[in-house]
Amino acid sequence: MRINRGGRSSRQLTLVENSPLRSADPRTKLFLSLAISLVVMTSIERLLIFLGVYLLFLVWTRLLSPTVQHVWRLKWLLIFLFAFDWWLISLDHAVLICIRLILLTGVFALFFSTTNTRELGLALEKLHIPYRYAFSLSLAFQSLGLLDDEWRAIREAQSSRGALPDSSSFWKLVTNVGDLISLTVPAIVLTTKRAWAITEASYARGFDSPHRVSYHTLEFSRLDFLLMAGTTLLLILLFWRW
Amino acid sequence: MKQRYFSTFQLILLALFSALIIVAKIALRTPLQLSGHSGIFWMAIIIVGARVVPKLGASSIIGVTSGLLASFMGLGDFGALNTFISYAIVGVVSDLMLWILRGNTENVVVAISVGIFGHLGKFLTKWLFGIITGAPIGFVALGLLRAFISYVIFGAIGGILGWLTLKALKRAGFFAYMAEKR
Repeated sequence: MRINRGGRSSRQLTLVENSPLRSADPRTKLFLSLAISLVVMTSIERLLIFLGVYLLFLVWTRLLSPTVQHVWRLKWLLIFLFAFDWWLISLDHAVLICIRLILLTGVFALFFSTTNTRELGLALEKLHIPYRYAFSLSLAFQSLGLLDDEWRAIREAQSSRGALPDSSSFWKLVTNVGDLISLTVPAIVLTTKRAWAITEASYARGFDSPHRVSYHTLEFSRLDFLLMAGTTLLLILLFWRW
Repeated sequence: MKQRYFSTFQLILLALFSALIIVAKIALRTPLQLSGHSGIFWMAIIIVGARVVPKLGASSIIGVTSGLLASFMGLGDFGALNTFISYAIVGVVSDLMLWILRGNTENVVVAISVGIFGHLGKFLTKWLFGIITGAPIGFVALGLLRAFISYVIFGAIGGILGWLTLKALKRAGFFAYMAEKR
């Protein structure tokens, strides 16, 4: 896997731009994801009903593909668990465990496939997390590509000097662990220098101004209220003693 | 101006350390196919971070930020929720260990302890995930026993690497440079 300058890797969740959830507030999506995570605690019958509704929702939001991609990575574990549970306990239990795993694995694709880090930063601000923390998160994401380049450069430089330890086997790695500082020390120093340069640049642009306002702000729309009300209603129905 | 717990420089530094954890996880794959081997660099960076920003909560910030980054990057096989909690808990447990030991990661025993217990935090998440989903405990325990040993070993190696890195940084005058920046 390789990260490019934009901070994206070949395996990174791609933003589903044409999803209706793209225009929803990140707080709503977070609420949806957390609410759906709670559903795993319900009984198998209700879970199966919910799974049907959830699949329809994924089709509508065009998020079926990223969710399936997530679950696909677990295919062997799911097959193994299903077979073991069926053999040792019961078919019902096997189905229940697999549905729970599938739900928990794929549910946050709702959030991470439709939200970028800038929007997450704005949502954190709205949730009363100080701006500096939200900013540092966006900054970390944007720095991934640069840091990846630096790590590779350090690795290549040390490798050409013969300073990189042989880590092809466990014992070689353990006995040569001290040599790994040829990677960590330059990386830490370069990262610190970069952090200082960013701090100075951000202060020069009035980062700590007491009257700072965001250019973009988040507002709940009708879609957000509908999604939250629908999810709450569904949760009440699923957990109602009927 | 109001005195803040973490200065802007410290926050940015911790955020970049979080990004470094993700880069190390992605770019620096060793040929070892043992679970938890990425913890070597992971724990080393957390231990260095806790010394460079010697405040309670520094490791937690690294953990939470790297958890969010990893979730956005689509890392981990059990979905974003599991990924986020795994990364965040490593930072929180490391902080907790530093608080309990009231120690400095320049002490090798403290560094190894933080490395082991911090890394075991990730293991704990896997175990909890098994319990929440209701997977058969015997089966999970069997699979996790090998992983447990692996996590302890790689956590300890990460602790040693962090301690060695701190020693090398100190020798190079890094902390004198940092004192000017604070």
